Amino acid sequence: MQADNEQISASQLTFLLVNAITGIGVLVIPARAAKAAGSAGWLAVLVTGLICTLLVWLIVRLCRKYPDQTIVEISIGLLGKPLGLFSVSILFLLWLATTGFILRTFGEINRDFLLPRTPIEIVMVGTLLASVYLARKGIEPLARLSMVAYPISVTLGLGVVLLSLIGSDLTNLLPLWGKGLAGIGLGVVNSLFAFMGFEVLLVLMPFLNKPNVALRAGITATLGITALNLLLTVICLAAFGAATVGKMLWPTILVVRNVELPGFFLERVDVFIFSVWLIEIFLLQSIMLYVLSLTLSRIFNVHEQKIFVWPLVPVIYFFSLFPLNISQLATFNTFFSVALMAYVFVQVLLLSLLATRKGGRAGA
Amino acid sequence: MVQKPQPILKNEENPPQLPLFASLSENLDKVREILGESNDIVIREFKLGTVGIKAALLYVDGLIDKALVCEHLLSSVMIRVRQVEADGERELSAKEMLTLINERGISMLEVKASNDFDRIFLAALSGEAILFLDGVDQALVVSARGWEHRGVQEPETQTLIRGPRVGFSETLRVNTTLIRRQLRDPNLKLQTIYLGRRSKTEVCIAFVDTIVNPKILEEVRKRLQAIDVDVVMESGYLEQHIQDDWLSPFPQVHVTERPDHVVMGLLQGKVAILVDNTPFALMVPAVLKDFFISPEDYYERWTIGTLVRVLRYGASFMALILPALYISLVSFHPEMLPTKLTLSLAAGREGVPYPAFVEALVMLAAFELLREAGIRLPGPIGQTIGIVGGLIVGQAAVEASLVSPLMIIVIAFTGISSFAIPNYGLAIALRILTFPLMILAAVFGLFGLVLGLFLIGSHLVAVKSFGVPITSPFTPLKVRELRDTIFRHSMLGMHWRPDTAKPLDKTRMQDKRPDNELAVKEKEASIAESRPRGGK
Repeated sequence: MQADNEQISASQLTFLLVNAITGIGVLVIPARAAKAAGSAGWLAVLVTGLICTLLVWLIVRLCRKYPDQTIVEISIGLLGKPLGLFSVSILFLLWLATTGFILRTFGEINRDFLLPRTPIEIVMVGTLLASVYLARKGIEPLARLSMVAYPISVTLGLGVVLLSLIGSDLTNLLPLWGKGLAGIGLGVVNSLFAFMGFEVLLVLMPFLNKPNVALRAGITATLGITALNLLLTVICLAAFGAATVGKMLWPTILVVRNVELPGFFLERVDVFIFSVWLIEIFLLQSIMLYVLSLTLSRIFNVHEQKIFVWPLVPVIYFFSLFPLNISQLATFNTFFSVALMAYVFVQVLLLSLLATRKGGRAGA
Repeated sequence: MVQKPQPILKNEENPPQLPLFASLSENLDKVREILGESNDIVIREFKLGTVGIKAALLYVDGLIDKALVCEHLLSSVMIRVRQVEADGERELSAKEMLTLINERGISMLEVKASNDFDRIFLAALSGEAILFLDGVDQALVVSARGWEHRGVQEPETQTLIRGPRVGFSETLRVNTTLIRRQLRDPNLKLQTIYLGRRSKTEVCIAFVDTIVNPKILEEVRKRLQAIDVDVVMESGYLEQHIQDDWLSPFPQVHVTERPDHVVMGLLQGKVAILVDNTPFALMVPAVLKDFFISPEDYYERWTIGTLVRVLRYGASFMALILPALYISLVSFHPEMLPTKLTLSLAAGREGVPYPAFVEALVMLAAFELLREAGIRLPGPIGQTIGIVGGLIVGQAAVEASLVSPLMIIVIAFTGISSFAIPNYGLAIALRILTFPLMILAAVFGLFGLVLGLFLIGSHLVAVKSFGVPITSPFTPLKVRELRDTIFRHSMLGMHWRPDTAKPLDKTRMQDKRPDNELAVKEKEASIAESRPRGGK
């Protein structure tokens, strides 16, 4: 039968990116920002969002020069085979680690809200196995599912979160400057965890049916996520105050817990909203599995992406078991998200410089 | 100029595999050898004309219209030919006689000459009368089909409140007539293909050739021609051969019993496949939203159509998740429910010895049993089974503390919901998927339920029907079409055909409402103006 032509539209790419970014980040962003920056947490989120948008612009600028190449081919082409492969392998490893830690983070949240007595390992393995199915189907089904699942989950979630504004106190947002510039700087570092994911553009751009819309898709995605994270941070800060939010583990869900819908057949809306959000998390895992297997297939120069999905499963699982406890997990999350972002920044900047210098030769 | 249809029957243009002999006795020997001793094969031998050329008529008893054959075929060739021949005042050779009979001697509509035994046997076994003449290596195939068949009746599986009370029947020709009667478009094409090595079942591909997308039509032809089975019993045989994904629980071909539904599909650019001997027609490509549409939605006003559509989508979701949701709420997350409800739930479950999963499984199995038994039993008794099974056994089961009362409500709702879906195939698919969802919910609670839904979603987005993703137009998103999916758009606003089948002709109607005349004129003017510019 006619196979998928492995092409996605601009809006599909936007939703894929948004999905890759949002999965877990939105559940923790207010706490991460408020912990470091205090009541100026929202400012930290805003700055982080703008930084990421800048990074997206850099990535798109680089990738647009090589419309049918992923970062793997671009690196090899510009840095030479050994160095190029090495640099991409580091990116791959960083992705692998963050995917594992995200899986672990999800397991921890799930234990707190849905299945307190189920071993976390079973939940994580279940999640991984479920995402394998979609990751093996290729990019078009991935894009289709994220495009229909994301609006539903976000609308439901945001709808309920907005209701929590009713009892909140906006004076909690004061003082505007929070813990000062250093605090905001630390907040930015902390917030990066909730923004990583957009760098999958590095491998997804060749699948766009019209390469010149990539910038619009990327910027829409990052700005959209910035707005969402900003909104959540403001709402959480207003509802609980900076000191409390900073101590929370999963503030977004707790803010939902405060909401009561009179006449609704459910009393605890947080569990319901988190269940709906599960789909986003499964999707996030599928997207990351796809991105990882695709990178691997390009590194080994194999046409088939599918065959690399299963081997990745135990590796991701291994990474997810690595942190000893939830506090170590938080440290790892921060460290690896910053490392990933910094690495992407350096690599893209370097490659862009090389590309400009090589100029006509690389384009030919 | 109408395009000449490509030959579909593979051997139509080929030289005969088994040519006729010139001698009548040899031909008849061959017929007897192959058709053998069957008691419904009739060979009537007689002599023709003044010289008395030997001739024979071959037919299958019960498949032809005897009155027609006697009155027009036999009387023509036996009596009238002699008069015609007398006019010519000379004796004719056998060959000339054949031409004479063919051109001037038979007052019947459809007559063809053939020199191939295979085609002659197929014709005879399809209900044609075959006229052999001695001395010619050709025979005349005279269409005289006529057999006992069920008349046109109201369809049993797709009854409507409003709409034609006409359903397909088992005879292919009757079915094509029903379509023609609703669509007098010269572009409506009905092409025949014979499938089944032994059954040689007549299969008709229907499409409107100015609307249908040639790629899809070609794909349908290719897939049908690739079928190599010995018998095609029902359109379901073809459906299972041509569908894209045989592992999927979801139907990828639209099955309908209603001519108006087929016509609706044809005008959307779909290809309909009608099979002889069955009242069920197939339509491809079929996407998920098609299964939620009943033709009646368009016969009633849009408010009614919208209400029932929303109901159907809700019902399908309920049929899928309700038991699993109940299990996960009761077994894992009772805190989600309001306290009063939790208490009454607990009170209802008091004394029930089994976990919610077993309870639900038993009840759902019992429900499926009732449904199956209800279908097998004749009408009035079937209803009794429903009452006895549903009401009395249910009540007794609650009183015996085997199941909780809320469980009965959940299962009843699930069952009713699944019957609200107009398409039987989809309803069954959802009912099947309920069971794995229940297991997941019993093991993992809500996490399991959502995991199951995610897997179903992952599967759905990957399935295609003849190249069209079955989740369209929801995803890949086509905003313009969303207004006639969950909602039924107003008739006045439906300017375009749905894009499901990628029709060539996309316009369904022009906006010619009186208050819009000005707008139309302006639009036409702007189009006329833009044309020369578009040229360069």
